[in-house]
Amino acid sequence: METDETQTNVKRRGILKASAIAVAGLGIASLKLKAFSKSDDKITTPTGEWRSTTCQGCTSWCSVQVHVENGRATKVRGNPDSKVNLGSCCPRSHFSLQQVYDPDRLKSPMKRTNPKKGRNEDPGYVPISWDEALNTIADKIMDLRNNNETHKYLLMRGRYSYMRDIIYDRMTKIIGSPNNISHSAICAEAEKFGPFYTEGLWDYRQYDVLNSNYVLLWGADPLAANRQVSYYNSVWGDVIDRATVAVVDPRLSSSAAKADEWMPIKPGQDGALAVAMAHVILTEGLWYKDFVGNFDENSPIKNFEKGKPIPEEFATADTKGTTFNEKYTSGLIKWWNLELKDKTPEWAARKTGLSAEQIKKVAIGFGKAAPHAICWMGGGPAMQVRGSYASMAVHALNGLVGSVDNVGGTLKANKEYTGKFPSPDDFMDEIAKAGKKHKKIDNRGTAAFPSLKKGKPGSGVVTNNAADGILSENPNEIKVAIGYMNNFAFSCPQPERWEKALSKIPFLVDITTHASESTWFADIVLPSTHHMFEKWGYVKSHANGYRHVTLLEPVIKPLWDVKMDETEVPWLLAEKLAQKGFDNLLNHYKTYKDPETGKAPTNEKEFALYSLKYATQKLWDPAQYQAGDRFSGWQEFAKKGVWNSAPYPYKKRWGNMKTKTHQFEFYSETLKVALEKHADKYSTSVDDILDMCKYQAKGEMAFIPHYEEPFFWGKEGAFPFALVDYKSRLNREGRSANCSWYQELKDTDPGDEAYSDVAKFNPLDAKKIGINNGDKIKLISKTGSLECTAKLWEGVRPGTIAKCYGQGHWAYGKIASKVYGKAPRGGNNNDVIPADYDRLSGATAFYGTARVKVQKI
Amino acid sequence: MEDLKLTTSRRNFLKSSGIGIIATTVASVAPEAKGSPSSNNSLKGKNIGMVIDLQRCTGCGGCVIGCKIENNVQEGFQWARNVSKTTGKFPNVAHEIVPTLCNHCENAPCVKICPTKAMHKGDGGITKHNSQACIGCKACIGACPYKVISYNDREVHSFWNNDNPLINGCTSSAKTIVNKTGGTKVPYYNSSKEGTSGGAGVRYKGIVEKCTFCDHRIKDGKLPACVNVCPANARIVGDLNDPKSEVSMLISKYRPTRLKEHLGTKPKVFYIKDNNPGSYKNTKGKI
Amino acid sequence: MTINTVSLMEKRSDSYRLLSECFYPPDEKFLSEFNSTKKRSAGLCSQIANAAPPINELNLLQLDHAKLFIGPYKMLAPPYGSVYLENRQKLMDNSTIDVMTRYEQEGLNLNLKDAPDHISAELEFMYFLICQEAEASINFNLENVEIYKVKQQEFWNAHLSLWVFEFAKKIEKHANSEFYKKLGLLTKVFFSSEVEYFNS
Repeated sequence: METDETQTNVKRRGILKASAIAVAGLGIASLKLKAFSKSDDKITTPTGEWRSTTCQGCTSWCSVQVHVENGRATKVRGNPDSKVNLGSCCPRSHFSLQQVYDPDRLKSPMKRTNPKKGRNEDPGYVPISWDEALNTIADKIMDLRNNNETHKYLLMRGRYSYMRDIIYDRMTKIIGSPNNISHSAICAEAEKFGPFYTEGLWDYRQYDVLNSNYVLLWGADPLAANRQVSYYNSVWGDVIDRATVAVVDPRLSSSAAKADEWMPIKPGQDGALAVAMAHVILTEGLWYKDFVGNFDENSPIKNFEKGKPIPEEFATADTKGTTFNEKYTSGLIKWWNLELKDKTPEWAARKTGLSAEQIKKVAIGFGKAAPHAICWMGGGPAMQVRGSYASMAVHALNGLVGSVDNVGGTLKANKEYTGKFPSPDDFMDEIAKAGKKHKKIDNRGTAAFPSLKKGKPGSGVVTNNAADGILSENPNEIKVAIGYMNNFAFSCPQPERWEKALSKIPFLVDITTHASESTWFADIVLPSTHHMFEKWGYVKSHANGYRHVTLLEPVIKPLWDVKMDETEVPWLLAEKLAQKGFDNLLNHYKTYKDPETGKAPTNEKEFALYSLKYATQKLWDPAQYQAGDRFSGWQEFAKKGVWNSAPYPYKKRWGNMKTKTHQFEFYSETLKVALEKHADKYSTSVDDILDMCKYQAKGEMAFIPHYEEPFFWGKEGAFPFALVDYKSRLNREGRSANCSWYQELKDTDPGDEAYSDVAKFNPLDAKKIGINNGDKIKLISKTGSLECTAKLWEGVRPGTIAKCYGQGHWAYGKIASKVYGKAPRGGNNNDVIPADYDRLSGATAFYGTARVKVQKI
Repeated sequence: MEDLKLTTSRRNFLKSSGIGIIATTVASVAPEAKGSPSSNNSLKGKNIGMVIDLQRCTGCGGCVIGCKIENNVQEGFQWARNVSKTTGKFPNVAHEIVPTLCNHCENAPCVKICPTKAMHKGDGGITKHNSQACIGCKACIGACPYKVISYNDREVHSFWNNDNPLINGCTSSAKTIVNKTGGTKVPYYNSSKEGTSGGAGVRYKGIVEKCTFCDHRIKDGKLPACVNVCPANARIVGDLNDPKSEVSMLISKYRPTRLKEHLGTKPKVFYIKDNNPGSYKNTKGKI
Repeated sequence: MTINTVSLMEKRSDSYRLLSECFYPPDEKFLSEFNSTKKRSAGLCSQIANAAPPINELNLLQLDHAKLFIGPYKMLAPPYGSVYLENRQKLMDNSTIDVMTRYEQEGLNLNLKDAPDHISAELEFMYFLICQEAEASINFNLENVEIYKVKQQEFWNAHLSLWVFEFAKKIEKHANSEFYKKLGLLTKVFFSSEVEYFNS
């Protein structure tokens, strides 16, 4: 039996003398507990209570409540107090019960006993104490510090809350490394590229669907996956009553199955459809005049005609002037002249495989609905090798119809008032400052990785390229790495690169709830709390014209001695480092004081709570009230679990956008500055940079939304099918395959089968190559292969294979893997997707990139 | 939303303040619109039925999983289920989802055939099953045209009986988790299910089981789990005997369909509207 | 209502605390404290201390402790309430949940890496309740005095009283060492006095 001893002094009174008994010792004057400790932050609850927390199964980040019965979680529901998800929650959140109580969860820190690392090397894990685990890690970090090589430390982040900066930013900086690598670029960075270089918004949008008359989904499937799935599920019945819904997707998605119009486009051709729609909207005169403006009344040219360029200035006998007077936009005529004038629906029909008639019909319908018309971009059109320009083209349509920041249109996130953690600057010593100056391991900002996040070259992460950086020791080797809730050896395309990279790192730590594929290569593994049930944290999310800040709360007591990844673990590590003579990190963390009492944290538990209260103070402290929901104090906020913003202020950004011109840019001056800055850094031309990065644009084309041919790995002859990868409505960040409910309900993804992982073929294709339902098959691409089951389905475009991401775990528990550590259940799509990038945004390419051939097994 | 009594009192309040019209408007947008099987704890004289709005249903599976959790239904059994079908040829394809459950037929073949009255009609017209009276003869399974009754031919929740860890010393086992949480058979065991159906919070080998319309919840004025968890508000429940209930009004407004109506079972689950209400080009067609 | 004397509360709480300590696996510190206190202590403590073996017999004591209370085969005197209360060898069930609920109501976290109905936890919990009673009486908070007296009575009725005697009997019967034999006996003796206390 292990025990902790804590002592709580009870007020002494003169009449009480300390007892004389030696062992029992202290009598009643001083309460001394051994089997127990007194807790002020009481976590456990009386029977049957709904307690608020947050579901991070996907990035919808719904506020939810857990029903707790005798300390046991028994049910989940949406938090009725959220104005974002409105008390509803999608099926994912229920699965969390099988995650938190998964028998395959780690209950103890463990260490590797097999010094050899590799896919076929069983790590031989044995349990160890937290003390031993933390001491080992701290020793390794001290070695780096003692040898002035702290830049060889790497922190990898997967799913996070906004407590992230404690471990991701502050800890990395104070140790002294530039290398904190997030997963963002395998999430959706390219999807933010278009909105940023048109309207200055590097973020996901929210969509005012209940006020919209036309909703056009581009590879987005809001009824199944990302973002705010719960909210959109709850209102979709009304949306399809009032709006026309069209879906651009090569496969019949959940949303396409309920749409007016399914546009099964050829993979990678989204840009062609977008520019052709712009062409139609302009030639039909359907642009939104109150936003875009109009031809000058004296201009001899008064409309857009196919094939005809338009001079920007005009001069007649009487007068001269600007042909087209733009109101809140910039560069429309340049865009028309450079790109749009010849991009007819007929031209696009040849590229996209859609009929010219359908393209025209949708474009006109969309234009007529202006300004209450939404182009909703998902990852599909953007997360491609040349996706940045498609991302711009799709989003530019929102500019044409004036739906940006408008009623029934596409909105940014409302303002919220959470605060930053204390600055680390005073705690970074000379070693840390020197270490931080080194280049990052993902090669961002090198000539071929411009990564132009928010207009700054080299500021966005290139997650998947970090594996190559580690393998080639470019810019340097990595000696010590910590990953938390990330599983790059599964979630990144060409994961075998990560298997090698992680094997190469001499000392790897994984902080995780479950032993995953990445864990397989770790030296020390730390068991993490489950975010939804056992952790303090907060996240932000927006939909329905509101933003909420929702708390992650420990609603049940963990069954095992697990620690919170973003707060408790770094604190405990800081304590160890301090014991070994390096106390900067601990001293920094001690500045995160409880706003209520002014007390500095003295242990990891206090630290977790104080840091959260610190960051969210403006939301709950009545003395610091800003806007939105109002609370009497921390207690009330924690009980409700969610703060809602003020309602959305429409049109506030018209003429005030964060672009170079402050207008919505059809010719992106903002991108021009960023690209030229990057080219200058390497003393070369923008053309040269784009060429290096696999784009086709030359000259001025580089700065406008335009069509680029898709870049596929594999020729159509040798690899006849384009792979259509997509995300399951049941995926909890790729970690739910170990829930039996996931396998049992897999057929809720249209076309999929329960307890199976199917690649879906159009029956015409299947007949051609002799494939039948249920055949065991192998998909082979230029970079890898996977095994799965064949399914014939009409909801797939001929020439493509649609397969859902999520299965194919070879080391993730007893259900997800056929044989843990050896054989996967189903196949991992990433095994056939080549590691390639949309280099302007840094995003990994998942779509319109991989071609495969099929073999029967 | 969890507590129906609130809903009812709200409506009464609105009525009594003489603005009944607003009450119906509220009901059509607020989550409370899921209907009300009972304003007090008694189901006597009521006839509980359900309307499923296929347009609202997104096929997400929330009802399936919510039901399993509420009723401690073991892996592989689904009292609520989504039946899906893809029809047409590319690119004109429809994917249709029909959420199902026990139809609680007025004229229930399973009740008629049961030799021990284990399958019986309870208050509110609910088709109930008494685990203790069931002899596992499976006659009801053969009689049910909707295939919504399951037979326990093995130990239930056997997954959670496993005592082997994945990684020795580092992970636990299913059995330990159940013990440690204090759950029964499963860690997330819902004890409130024990209130009815012969007290079987979890069923056991040798008997049948099926949807009971969450009789343990509606007796307390709470919505059935599948209704409560539906993120799309596609399931609406209420008293078919009350012409003013939401279900009665929806049934009058739309022409509902029921499954296998021709068999004369008189199912009490009604489907309205369509999975895909999509528009098409105005036409008279041609010969 | 009566207010207990400080000395009575002190005696009871010390005894609970002491007994709780005695069921942990013995180590060097444990034994040396007993050995050093043989002469100085009084009452229950001195009686237990007098049965404590010299330090060099620690391993024998550890062996006996393991056999009685840990396993690896059959525990000869299982130290878990539920084993006795539920009449079967299942470690977590309703009585355990009840124990946990009571701990939680007091805002106590169980540090003991063992089941909540372990004898050491239940004894220390009683010690805690008596301390609360004592503190309330020092502060003349009569309401709390009553509350904590009732809590003791309830916990005694629902748990300890139902199994400690059978448990003590098993220790007496199966222990090899004088120390644990004596511990079994003294446990019985102490709880007999508790029966009197609660009945009065």
